[in-house]
Amino acid sequence: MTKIDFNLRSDHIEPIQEMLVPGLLNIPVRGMSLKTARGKKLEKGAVVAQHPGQGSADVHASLAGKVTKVSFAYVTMLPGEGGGVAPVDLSSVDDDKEMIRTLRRLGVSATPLMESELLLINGLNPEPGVTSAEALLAHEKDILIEGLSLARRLVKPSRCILVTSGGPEVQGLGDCEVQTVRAEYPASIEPLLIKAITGKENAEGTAVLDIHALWELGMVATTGLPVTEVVVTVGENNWRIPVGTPLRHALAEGGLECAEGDVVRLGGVMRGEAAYSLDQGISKQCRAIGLVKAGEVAPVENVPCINCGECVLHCPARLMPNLITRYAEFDRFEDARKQGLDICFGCGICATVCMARRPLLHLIRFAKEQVRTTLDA
Amino acid sequence: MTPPVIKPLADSAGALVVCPPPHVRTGLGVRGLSLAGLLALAPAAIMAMGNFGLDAARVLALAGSVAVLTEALCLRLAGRDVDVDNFSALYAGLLFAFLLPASAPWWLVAMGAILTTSLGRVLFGGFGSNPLCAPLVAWAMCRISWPAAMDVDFAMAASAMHEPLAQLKYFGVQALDQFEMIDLLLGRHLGALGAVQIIPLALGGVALMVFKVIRPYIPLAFLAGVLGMAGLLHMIDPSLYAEPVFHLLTGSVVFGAFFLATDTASSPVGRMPMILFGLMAGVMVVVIRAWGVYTDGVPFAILLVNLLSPLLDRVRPKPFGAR
Repeated sequence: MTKIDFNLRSDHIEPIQEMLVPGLLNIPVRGMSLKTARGKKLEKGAVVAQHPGQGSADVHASLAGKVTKVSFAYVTMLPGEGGGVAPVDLSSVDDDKEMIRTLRRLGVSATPLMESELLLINGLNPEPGVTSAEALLAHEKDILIEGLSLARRLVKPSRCILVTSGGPEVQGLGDCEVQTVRAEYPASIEPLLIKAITGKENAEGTAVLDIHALWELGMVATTGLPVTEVVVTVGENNWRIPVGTPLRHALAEGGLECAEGDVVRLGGVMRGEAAYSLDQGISKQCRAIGLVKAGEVAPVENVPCINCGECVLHCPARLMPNLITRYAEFDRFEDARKQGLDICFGCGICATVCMARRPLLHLIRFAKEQVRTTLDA
Repeated sequence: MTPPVIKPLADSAGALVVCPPPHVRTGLGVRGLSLAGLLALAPAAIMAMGNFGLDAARVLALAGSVAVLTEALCLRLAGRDVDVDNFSALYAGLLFAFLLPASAPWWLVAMGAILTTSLGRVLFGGFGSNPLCAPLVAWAMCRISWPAAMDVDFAMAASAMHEPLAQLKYFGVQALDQFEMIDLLLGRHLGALGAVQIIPLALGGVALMVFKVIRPYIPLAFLAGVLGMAGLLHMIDPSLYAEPVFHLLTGSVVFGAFFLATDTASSPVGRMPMILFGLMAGVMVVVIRAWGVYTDGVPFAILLVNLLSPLLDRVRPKPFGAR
């Protein structure tokens, strides 16, 4: 039987590489209000779309160029001549609320930046298949320290702890305390990280910032320009890629070749989505791009649960995923909630160990989405 | 009506394979599980043919094929996909055959195999939805309906061997001196054709545990329950109750521990419920053997504890954050 490697520690991390500029950008804007139109010429860093939600960030043009196509999901741009927007002087912003508004305008999500007693910096790679978090920690320390001082200003913590895997290339971060945890997935998931450090399952007054968010903060703090790049693991290496770069380009530059029947995953091995087109642009939330070769992973099966109990024995939240997913399958979302749907972290361990190969994570996500849009609306 | 899913940028020419995460899996799948079970049963089946001759082969073949045909027919009648190619029906049929005396008449074998899949599984929604272990449902129906044909000692009267459990029940502990330990281990005594092949069954069961097809909680707790209860009784009155090891090596205790009690659908989930389930079933086996009407308590013990599974499933830790 396959042995799964849940290790989150990356032992050899190459410096982050810059990717060749793509010939086309497809910037994801689904669910946002568009601030541009077809035919417009944009400077690098100009606003493309604004997020309506509280605390969510705007999206900007990651290169200067001309908008050639606009749909509800993507803004397509042809990179060309043009300058960049003027930087914002963050040092002149004194008020915290004003600062958060400014950060949002510059493309940084400010949701985790609430005032808290304890600030945890999640230095673990989020999941197997992603090494970009530790790569940032190893090679972009100056930017992270800039980000940390800005985060400290907003969160006002009395303690600040960097949680790491104890990997050889991962050292401390400024004057932040360092604690090491056993770097095995799902240790990187927020509630479990908080529990590992504080020992409490219901820890209040703890803010968790992951390394990618800290890097975005740091980029904004050092340049005053909007965030238009993501650091993504492609294959073995880590790259700085403009938001909206088509998958086709990123895969080719990263040295991955996609053949008939392969799955292209956007994100880690455990939670990453499968891409449906190589023209899809990389979003700001993307942490890794990888290939799942045809026949490498047994496909999910549309079979009923056989009640073997593997998911229950593995669930880090001590839930019964077998019941939750059975309720989800038959549209009984209230019952799924009574079984702890809202507590579920969505780590996907239940689905990896499912004896019958049911799409457990998929059903849980479906139920959560249904609860969010119908029951809670 | 659900609105159509619109995927911008999706071109049908270069379409990718899309599947839900996670992109790594250890699960064997239903087919893999059944094949692993069949593989684990194979040594015992071969040994049964060695001990009981072609009669055993006849019963195994008939039960297996009738179970598969019944399942296919039931699925067809219900308008569902016929998925007998996942071998789960064959596995259930063979499990039932393992509980029969080698001399079972063809109609009994066929009837039992039909009951295994129809009443045991399909009626409740198919494999995975059965509240009771399907082969045991069939066994219980047959045992009650045709007691003479199902009684091993009676049905195999022509054989020179004796059934240890019947000897214990009707002649007491003194009658057990005739059985050598090695004979019990090698299946050279009367009993259900597959269930008495102790060594190959134990090997198969341990292999299933080693390759993580089944969890050890239920089998080990079951054996511990049998040994514990039998040991307690033996301690109280050795002249009335047999030794614990005797209970372990006779009837279908080993078969029940590794293959029947671990039936996924009818057993509870979670560590504690599984251990409780195994212990209760094991204790019940000895209770039935000591004071019940039936010689081998295993099938009824497991059936009874199957009924408690939903209750045992409620023994569970508080979810994350609720402490």
